[in-house]
Amino acid sequence: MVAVALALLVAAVISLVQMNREVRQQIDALATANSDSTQWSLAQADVELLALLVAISDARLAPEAPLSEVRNRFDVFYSRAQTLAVSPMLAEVRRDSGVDAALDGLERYLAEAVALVDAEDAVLRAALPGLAALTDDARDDVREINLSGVSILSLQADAQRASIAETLGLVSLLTFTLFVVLIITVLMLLLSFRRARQQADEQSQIRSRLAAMVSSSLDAVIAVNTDGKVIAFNGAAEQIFGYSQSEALGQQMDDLIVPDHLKAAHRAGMDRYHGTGEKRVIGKGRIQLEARRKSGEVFPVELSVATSDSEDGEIFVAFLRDISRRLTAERELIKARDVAVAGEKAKADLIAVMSHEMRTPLNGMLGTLDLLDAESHSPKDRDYIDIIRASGKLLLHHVDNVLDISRAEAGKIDIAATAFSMPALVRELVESQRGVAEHRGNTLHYRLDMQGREHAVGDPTRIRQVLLNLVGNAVKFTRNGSITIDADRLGGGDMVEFRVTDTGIGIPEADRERIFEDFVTLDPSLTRAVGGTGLGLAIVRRLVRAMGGEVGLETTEGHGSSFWVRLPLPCPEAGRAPGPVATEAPELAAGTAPVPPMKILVVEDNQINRLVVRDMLEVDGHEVHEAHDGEEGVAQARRISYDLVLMDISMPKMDGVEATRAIRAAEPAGTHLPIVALTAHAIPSEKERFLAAGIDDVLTKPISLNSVREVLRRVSARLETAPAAPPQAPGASAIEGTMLNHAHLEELAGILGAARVGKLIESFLAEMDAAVADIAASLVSGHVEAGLRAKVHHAAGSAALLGAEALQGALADLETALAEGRMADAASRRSLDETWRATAPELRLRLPAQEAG
Amino acid sequence: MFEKLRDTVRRLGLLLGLAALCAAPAMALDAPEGEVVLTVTGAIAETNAGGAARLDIALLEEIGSVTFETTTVWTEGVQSFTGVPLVELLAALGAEGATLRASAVNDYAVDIPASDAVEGGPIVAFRRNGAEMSLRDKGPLWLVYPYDASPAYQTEAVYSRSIWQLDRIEVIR
Repeated sequence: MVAVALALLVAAVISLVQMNREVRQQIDALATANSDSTQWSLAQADVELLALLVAISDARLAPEAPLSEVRNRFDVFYSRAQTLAVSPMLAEVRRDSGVDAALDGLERYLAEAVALVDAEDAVLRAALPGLAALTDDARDDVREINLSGVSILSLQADAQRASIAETLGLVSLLTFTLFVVLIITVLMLLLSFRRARQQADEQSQIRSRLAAMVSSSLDAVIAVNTDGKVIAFNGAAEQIFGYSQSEALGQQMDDLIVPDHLKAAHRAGMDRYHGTGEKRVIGKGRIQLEARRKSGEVFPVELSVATSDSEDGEIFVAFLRDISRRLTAERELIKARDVAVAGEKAKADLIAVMSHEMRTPLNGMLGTLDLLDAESHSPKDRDYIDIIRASGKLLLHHVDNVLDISRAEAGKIDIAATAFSMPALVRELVESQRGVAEHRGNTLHYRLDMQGREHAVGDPTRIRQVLLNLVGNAVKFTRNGSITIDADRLGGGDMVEFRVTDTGIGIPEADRERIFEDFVTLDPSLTRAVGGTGLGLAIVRRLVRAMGGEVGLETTEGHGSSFWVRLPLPCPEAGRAPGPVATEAPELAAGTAPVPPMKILVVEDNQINRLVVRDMLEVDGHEVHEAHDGEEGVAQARRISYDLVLMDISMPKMDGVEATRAIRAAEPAGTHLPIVALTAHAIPSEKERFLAAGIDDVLTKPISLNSVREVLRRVSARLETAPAAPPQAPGASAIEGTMLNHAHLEELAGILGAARVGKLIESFLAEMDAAVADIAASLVSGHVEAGLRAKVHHAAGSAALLGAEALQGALADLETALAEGRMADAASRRSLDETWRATAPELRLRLPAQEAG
Repeated sequence: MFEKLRDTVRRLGLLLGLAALCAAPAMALDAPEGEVVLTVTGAIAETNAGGAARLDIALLEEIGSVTFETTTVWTEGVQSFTGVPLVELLAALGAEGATLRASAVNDYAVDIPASDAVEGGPIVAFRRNGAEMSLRDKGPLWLVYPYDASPAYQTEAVYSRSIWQLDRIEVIR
């Protein structure tokens, strides 16, 4: 719009300038006045001619007077006539034919007159009358020129005036147009001015709104120009940084608020931005940094920076928030959490320590009772001993309960998946509880309906624990009643339901859920009567859930209760024998036969425990040495060659794990001293730690004669046989059946590669040929040298490695015999010989093809 | 106030004029030897005949002469005029007037402001195209302005002041 107005204006001005020049020329034409007093000139010619006539007549009247006046007048007229003839001002006039003719006449007159005027005075005086007549005649021509000239000049003037009028008209038109254009332009300017003012108003509104936002912002807002000078600093910034606005404005921003240790990075960042335009902070959203207050205090801020273009170039706008309080709160929260976690851990640690501290004296008590048991006492004493044992076991049970809960809380319930026989488990359980039940006048029955699938895969220890708890409860709350255990495989599928039903006091409906919670005992007085920690059912529920099952209760108050447990216990895969069931037999089921005597080192700081363990071992004829701590144990194990070390774990100075490591580290290659840990630490993860340190087995306190025997049996079996192989009965015909465990060899080949196994077999064959011959020779000669047993032991180890189970069995028998100080009989010697002869060809067959031929 | 100023100037001028008279009595204008072509009367300091300066061509030429070319509205083609600049003439005569009343042989007369007499301004021409001018040829003296030099010299007034056949100048205060 403004552009259009301007264009119009420019066009008008240009045409006006042109017009102006035209008018100027016209005016100049008037001003330069080439017409002059042309008419005066014309008239003057007449006057001057008349003056000449007067002079001539004067001269005629005075014959003596000089003629100079006549001559002068003539010259003057002559000059005038010449002017008329040549003056450019009269060019227009001369174009008239009448004027032209008159001028010609005048010229002729002048020519004639000149001759007379220029003659001698006498001649002139004589010619005066003629000259007068000639001059008088010339007046006609002059008048003709005069009149024509006047009329022509007046026409010329008219034309000029008309032209001027036209030009002036045009000028006035143009002026009017210009005026209109100007008016329009003014209107347009007015319009645009109004619009500009409106925009300015809007902008100032926006600005003030923005200013209000910035000033009321809770975040500090700081704007900085490209030189790093602060150009805006709001109220929040004043509060946060401690500078007043007047102090901050115009200062270098980094001097004000950037902490010293960040200045270099800040400058580098700004340089980088100015140099390459790379943005690391600008426009990257919230960034956490540190800033400095006026007081010099450095505090954490969250900031975001944006850039904006302004009149003075690019500016940076930073929004900063003091987050020191937030971070403090976060830190406190984290600290509180850490404290809580540490508290939890301390609690767990306390429980673990307490378990150790309580189990150790219990171990002493119960172990000593076992020793007492072995001797004869009066019936009264035996009763007392039984009571002490029962009390001790109950206490142990409570400790175990608490431990179970804490373990469950820590998510440390390990559920095994082993195959076991369901009827055996239930039967054993019932048998173990029968005595207790009958003691309270209760009968205990069980019913099984496994739908023909009597084996199951699960954790028999946990299942036993659950059922023991339920049966224990039933017995506790039932007197002179009956307790029934049912085990049903539901619909013949994977789900097995156990049900423990009693005819006892029952449980109020309202308490059905509550009884599964921790430390719940329904009736304090009743509880006092029957005792208990109130943890039994809580443990049951946790264990059942851990096994993926559920537990519930059906009860009628006063008419007994029926607890049920449903667990997914699938049947093992067809064809897989439930082998482990036999080894899963509970310790209390049967006594374990003692192993042949060994030389055993007991490392234990607790004197009672040492005594108990020593007595238990000596009952079975073992030779027992003692060490009072880890260091002593390590030293003794280095000095004397033992068959076994029983190693307590918790000891001052050097604990059992460390001592084991030390022993293992000093052990010569190829030898392995069996080390069994003695511990009250029942946590499974601990057991893994022990095994990793080189401990072979774990004997959990409290120790009983049976458990010691069992561990010794396991250790000696491991020494003499391959772990996977069932122990060979002495004297059994080893020649029958296969000589090799081919599955083991396949596995070995899978691990080592067929070639290496081939080489192993080769060297084994060579070694064994010599060893068997050597051993046989020794036996035949009857001269048993000290190294013989080691040789046999070594040969047995090699045989175990290659899965030569029959040979290994024969060697183990021999070694046992030697260890017991018996001389091997002819039968066993022959057996060894025959077994080797049967084994060797089978082994050769397993050599790789190229070497088999 | 202006009256006073004018008085002062006039008095000053008078003093200067007197000073000139006293200082150079011996430098009185030479008497004309040839035909007198111009008689200057009135407020002039230099005279040679009873309060008037009677000048011939030689005296005029002595004062100084310049030549310029110009066209005129009375002649055909470019003309070359030679004459004494009016400003020099007045200076030489010690003229003290504001107006010059110039008269011609043909009785034409016109008043010329003294202010017209400037450097590069009008001359009292005594030669046209190298030759002296006769009475018939608008001579012997013709006050010529350099018309072509400036539009300011192409006005009616200037034309009217361009007096030919000039023979008398009266310097009027």
